[in-house]
Amino acid sequence: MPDGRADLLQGTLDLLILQTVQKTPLHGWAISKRIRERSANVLDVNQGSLYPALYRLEARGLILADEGLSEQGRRVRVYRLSAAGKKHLAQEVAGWRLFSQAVERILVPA
Amino acid sequence: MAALLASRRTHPRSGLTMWHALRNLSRRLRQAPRTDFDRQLDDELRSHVEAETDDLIRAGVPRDEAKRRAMATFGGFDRWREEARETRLGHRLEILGHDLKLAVRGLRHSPSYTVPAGATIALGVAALATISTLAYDILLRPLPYAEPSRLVAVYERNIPRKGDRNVVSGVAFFAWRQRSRTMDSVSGIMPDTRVWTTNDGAERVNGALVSPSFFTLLGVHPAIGGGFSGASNAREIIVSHNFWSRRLGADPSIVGKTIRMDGAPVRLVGVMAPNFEPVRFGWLGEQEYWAPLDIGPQQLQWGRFLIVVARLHPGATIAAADREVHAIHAQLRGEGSIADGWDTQVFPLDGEIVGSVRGPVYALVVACGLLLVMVLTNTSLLTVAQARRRTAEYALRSVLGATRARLLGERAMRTLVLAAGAAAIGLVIATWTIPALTRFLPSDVPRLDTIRFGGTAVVVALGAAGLTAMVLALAPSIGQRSVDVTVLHGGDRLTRSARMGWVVVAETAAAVVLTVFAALTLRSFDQLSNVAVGFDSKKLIAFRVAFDGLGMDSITAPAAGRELMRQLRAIPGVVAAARASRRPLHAGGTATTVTPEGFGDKDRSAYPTADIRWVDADYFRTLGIPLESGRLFSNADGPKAPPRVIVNEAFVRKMWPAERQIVGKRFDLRLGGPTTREIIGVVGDARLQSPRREPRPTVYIFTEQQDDGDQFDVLLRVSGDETPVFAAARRVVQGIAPSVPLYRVESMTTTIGKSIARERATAQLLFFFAASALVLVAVGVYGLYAGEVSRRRREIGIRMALGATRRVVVQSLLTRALLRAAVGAGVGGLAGVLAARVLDSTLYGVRSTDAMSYGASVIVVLFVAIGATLLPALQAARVAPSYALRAE
Repeated sequence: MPDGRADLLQGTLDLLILQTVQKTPLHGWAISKRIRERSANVLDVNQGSLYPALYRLEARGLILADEGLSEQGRRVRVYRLSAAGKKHLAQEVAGWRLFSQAVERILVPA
Repeated sequence: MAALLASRRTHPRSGLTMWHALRNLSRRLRQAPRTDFDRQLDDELRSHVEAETDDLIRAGVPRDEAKRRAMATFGGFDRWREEARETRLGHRLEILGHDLKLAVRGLRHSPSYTVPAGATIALGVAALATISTLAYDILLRPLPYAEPSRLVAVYERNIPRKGDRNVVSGVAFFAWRQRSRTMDSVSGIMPDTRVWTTNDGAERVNGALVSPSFFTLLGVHPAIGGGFSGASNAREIIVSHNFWSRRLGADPSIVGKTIRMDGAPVRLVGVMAPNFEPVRFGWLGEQEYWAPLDIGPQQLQWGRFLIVVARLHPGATIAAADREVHAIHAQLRGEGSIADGWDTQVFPLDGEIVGSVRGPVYALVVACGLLLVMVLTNTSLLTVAQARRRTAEYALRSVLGATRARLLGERAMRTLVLAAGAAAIGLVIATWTIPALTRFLPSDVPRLDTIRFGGTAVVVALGAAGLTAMVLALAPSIGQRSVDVTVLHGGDRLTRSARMGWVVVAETAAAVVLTVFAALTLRSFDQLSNVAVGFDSKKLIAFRVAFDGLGMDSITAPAAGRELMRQLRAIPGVVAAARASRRPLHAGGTATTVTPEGFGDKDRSAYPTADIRWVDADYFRTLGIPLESGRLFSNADGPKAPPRVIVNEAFVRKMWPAERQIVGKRFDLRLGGPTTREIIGVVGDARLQSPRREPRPTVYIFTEQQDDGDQFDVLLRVSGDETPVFAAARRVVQGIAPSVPLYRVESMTTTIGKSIARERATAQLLFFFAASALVLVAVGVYGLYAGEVSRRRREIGIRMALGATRRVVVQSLLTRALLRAAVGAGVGGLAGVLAARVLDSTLYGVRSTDAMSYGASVIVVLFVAIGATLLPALQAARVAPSYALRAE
């Protein structure tokens, strides 16, 4: 990764969003910022992917959206994890661990 | 709009400047119909941009630069806005609603497609809904009795005569009832008729005598009243709802009271529900009342006369019951209470009731299914042609980014709307055709009264609509992987209709099968209606009287009978008059075994059964039955003379096939009284049971020599109009005995018509289907080739310019059409052989593999197919070579 940035792997965005809103409810921009910060600027979530993903997750009942206000006092939607989302996240995390460990094992020179 | 959105998505505006983006954003925000969703989304986006800007400023980026950068992240603003929108649940519904509007509009704007396609589907659905309702209500709907699958009919069967389904003797009935473990209850039924007298005159009504436990066995109860008491010799009666409402004024208080039938008092103990279906098969006819059947010592002498219905013990199978009844019969034979040569048969009751119409109904269902296939192929052709007309539009939209799925979805919606609308119209038509069909069918079709428009029609119509929508949506895509965009630059595609060639094959095949059905049933009907019945049925009328009612006894009744015949002969227009115990072409009647003279009490089952008829001296002359040898009855054959009979030729063939001198021979006949009879004459064969049944050996006994009871048929040969004779005959009977009704008043031509009415109805319905099939073939084939010629006009022009003659052009088209049609006809012929087997049991005088029917059908269908190709072929021939130049 010469420029220090990584493309998001297909399917991992949902996992990242769910993980990010697990503790505290956040609005869209805060989610993207949190992901960027937590990944030390490696992962930059494109807004073009973020909002469709948020609406998709909401439609699937994995996250819930509440009316809220941004720091600028604008009406925004604040997302939090639903019970189903919590269960789903646990599965996703476990799946991811398995996957990344497997990939890691392959990448390590024998 | 959906299509425009679709196209926009494929053009990401990645290189927008901030200015553009902002302007775009504000325009979007100001745009007119903003939904809650849009507002919410816009708020969210704006807040995102603001937050991002603030963040950048905090990080030390100058305000303007921060704004620009924040906006830049919104490169594909519209695009992801749409993506976000599409993930929403409601979005799909929105598109669906939009497509629906588009579909309705599209259909409205192309009536040249919508009307013929819609009409074809509607008529197809109406036919299918009607025939399916008929099939379900008659054949498949369970009988309306408790646990109908446990109900069976039990018969006796004569082994040496290879008999089938013989009615049952009282002895066998009682034995089964007492000894069977597999059958919980056993009931006997036999037809009955009684006189119902009102102030307006007397009337015969038909009913049945049933074992008192009969209704309990069926698991049905009278709607009013408690039913039979079960006491022996109880004078009780249960009537149908129709009888109660028509003749008893629908008076509920009459139940439990006494009414008079046959001039005698009976207690009305029940009225059945209006939807009660009488058990009707074998020789049971219409039933308007039910009276308890008493089998006493007298009835035990009657021989075999009972229809037997039984309810199986829960868990007992028909096979087990069959084995058991078999075993009981073996015991009876061992005990000597029934003759050797008889055993038993057990069948499910529903099959007995509806079995006779199974073949024709299945044939109709098959015919209807094939018709639906043709409806599908024809409307597919229309749909493909319609899609071709819109090729340019599709190509344009495809270039603008509409996906194949999107276009297919739109098309699916259009065909769905078309199919659903047409099916709805078809259902409306079916509400009219279903009752029309029940009126059209002869009234002796079992369960005819129960046929109603209902769930069956709706379910079938829904299924047909779904199937049609699917086929029509997919039809234009067959063999077409992507939208052909070459049409956009005016390219004239030089394609043949090879892909649609299967339509010609399928349609001719289906049409051949349908035509074969029609041809077979028509031939069968023709054979039946031209059957030589053995007597002259024209200008011959018949009615039945019974001098057994009020004021009649063993002296007055025969006298009244003689007086009646004398007066009838005097009616103007009556050429001859005769009486008989039973008229010809009327199933049933007395039949018994004939044995050589002095045969005695040995086992008679190896000897033939003969129909026995009591006739007067004028019978053969009146009916026109020829005397072959000997003489007819005369005054010399009085009660004092030795018993003399006349036999028919079938009798002679059976008893003495090799002998020539028959007159003077004697044989034994057991009917009570003297057994030995002497033959004085041999007459021609007449069909006594029905036009279908070969003449059986028949023995005619002279009424003046041995009395046949007080019920008899009168046959009148008339010279002119029948109607005044009926009226005069009625007056004569009224004058002799006012309480005696005439019944079964009918001309013999009507009787013959009725007895072949089912065959006629089947043939007519199948003929109608075949005619529709031929129309569909003609329209389909014509449409296919006409479309092809118009599309290939330029190619044909080029060919002609290059030297092809008109003949070659016409020939190539006709050859191809003929080849496809011939393949279809071959397939249809083979399929026909298989499918026509459902008709096997109903055909008369023609086999289901009848070569003539197949040959004629193939020729007719090919003729229609070629005829339909001729017009487009001639159009092709008229294409001028210059057309090739003009088109560019």
